[in-house]
Amino acid sequence: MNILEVRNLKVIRGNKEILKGINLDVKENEIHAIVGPNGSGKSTLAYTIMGASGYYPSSGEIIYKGEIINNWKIYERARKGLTLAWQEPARFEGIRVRTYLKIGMKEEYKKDLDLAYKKMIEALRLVNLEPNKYLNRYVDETLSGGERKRIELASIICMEPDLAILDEPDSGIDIVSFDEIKRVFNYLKENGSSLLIITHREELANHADRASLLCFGEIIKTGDPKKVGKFYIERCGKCYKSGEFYEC
Amino acid sequence: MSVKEEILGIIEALKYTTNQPDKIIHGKGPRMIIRECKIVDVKDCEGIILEGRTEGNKIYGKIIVKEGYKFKDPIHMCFGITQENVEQEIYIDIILEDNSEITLMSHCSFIKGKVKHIMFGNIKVGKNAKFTYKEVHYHGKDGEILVKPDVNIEIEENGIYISEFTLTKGRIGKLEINQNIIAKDNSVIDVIVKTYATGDDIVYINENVKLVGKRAKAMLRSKGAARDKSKITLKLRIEGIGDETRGHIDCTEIIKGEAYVESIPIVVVNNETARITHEAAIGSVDKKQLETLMAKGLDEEEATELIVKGMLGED
Repeated sequence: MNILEVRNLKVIRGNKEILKGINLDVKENEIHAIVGPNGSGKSTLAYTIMGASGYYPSSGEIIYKGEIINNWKIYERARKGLTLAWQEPARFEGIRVRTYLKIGMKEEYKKDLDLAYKKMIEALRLVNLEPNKYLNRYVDETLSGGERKRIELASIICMEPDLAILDEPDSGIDIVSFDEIKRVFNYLKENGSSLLIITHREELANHADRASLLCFGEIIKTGDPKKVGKFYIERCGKCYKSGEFYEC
Repeated sequence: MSVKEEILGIIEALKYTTNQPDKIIHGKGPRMIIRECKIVDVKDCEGIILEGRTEGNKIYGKIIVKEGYKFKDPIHMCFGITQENVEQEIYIDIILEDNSEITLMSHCSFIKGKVKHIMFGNIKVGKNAKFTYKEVHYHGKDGEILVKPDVNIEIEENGIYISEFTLTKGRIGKLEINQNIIAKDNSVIDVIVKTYATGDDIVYINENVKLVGKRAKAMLRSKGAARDKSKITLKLRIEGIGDETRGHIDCTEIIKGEAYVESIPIVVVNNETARITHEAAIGSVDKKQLETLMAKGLDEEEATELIVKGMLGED
């Protein structure tokens, strides 16, 4: 059963068609990676699925849990269990980590502060941040880029979403932390979430159940992540290095 | 009304500005408690002279911190108005003698109706003295309150004056702050005003600092949000007169709806060794911040509220 279906999705920004008729399925409890080079339309796809302002389908349908959500507002999508972790998450003056992590939590946690606290501790430990050091810190400029990304992942863990879109979850986090990100993927999957991972790194895509290769606004291959990754490395690299577009 | 009833009323009012009203009212620390136009309680201690008297709606107060006395715990001044159509006129003199140190916390809770709270203050911070003044207001939900403090401050050599004014809960009504500060050699000034204007609230902040002494320093900051049809006008002025004086003006304001914010920083320098700067950021809530929170299920209103509260330091 699919949690997300994208049908012939086209997105135009300015005068340029960024997405040229995307078809994509994400199954329930699946980790699905969208892999592709910079500028291929990956983030546009993520923002359009989430409903960010300025990213509207010019045609096609986004179907989430069986409902067409093209006209839903961001928070309406979020309240139905869909969320997005931005590649460069915003920073907030004066908002503490403990408040930030609580924002998207389910009602059962909001009603039981002990339960919410335990969840926050668990989430911060999963992203390798010491809770005592971070719960009272502000989600502001005093955090490094890596710390901010980890807190965003912790926030996603606390939300227990049905489908989380993670836009370049490893960018800004050092290479040593790659295994930690995979640990977060596993945790979310084991706890029932589906994931749509946006990445330009085939190593990260390898950890998915399935992968789709996005190139020049089109999905040109979907299937086993290792095969899709191999194709991406062997073919897309040449395409972008030469500046010419080869037919795939 | 008995004293006990007066006290109970003031405790009720103070719940809006502090989470420890009982501790303030019944604690051992120095305090002056005023309900409507009546002084309910005055308590001083060694090293502090606290005097108060009333004449009709006029309240006269004097605080003197004696030379060399330094206090970790604050003096509390509580102004509670629980009835409608009350006009308070306050005349207060605060003197920190040389080498003294104190924090004064002023709690102003005006729960309902038409209220006028007008204050004329003179503050003198002695040599090497440090005065921290924190004023927290709560103004009910009616928006018919006028608060107008007019304060002159003089800071002697090596003196420090830190002031934080917060009016972020309830409706403001009309707020007009006039503050004139003269800073002598090596003195330090740090003033911040935090306001959250809604409805048709009007905020007018006029701060004027003269850095007359050598190496005197001043920071004037305003943080706030204006929504609906409210209006905020900020006139913050620093004059660098003395040698090597330094000053900075910083305004951060968020607007929403038909609100209007005007920031007029005035930087005056007539000494080539002085340096005064300013910066202002006024605009709507950052879109990326909004959408980050909305992707967690907050609607635009809830997300805006959280961002504003964070900016005003209420988390």
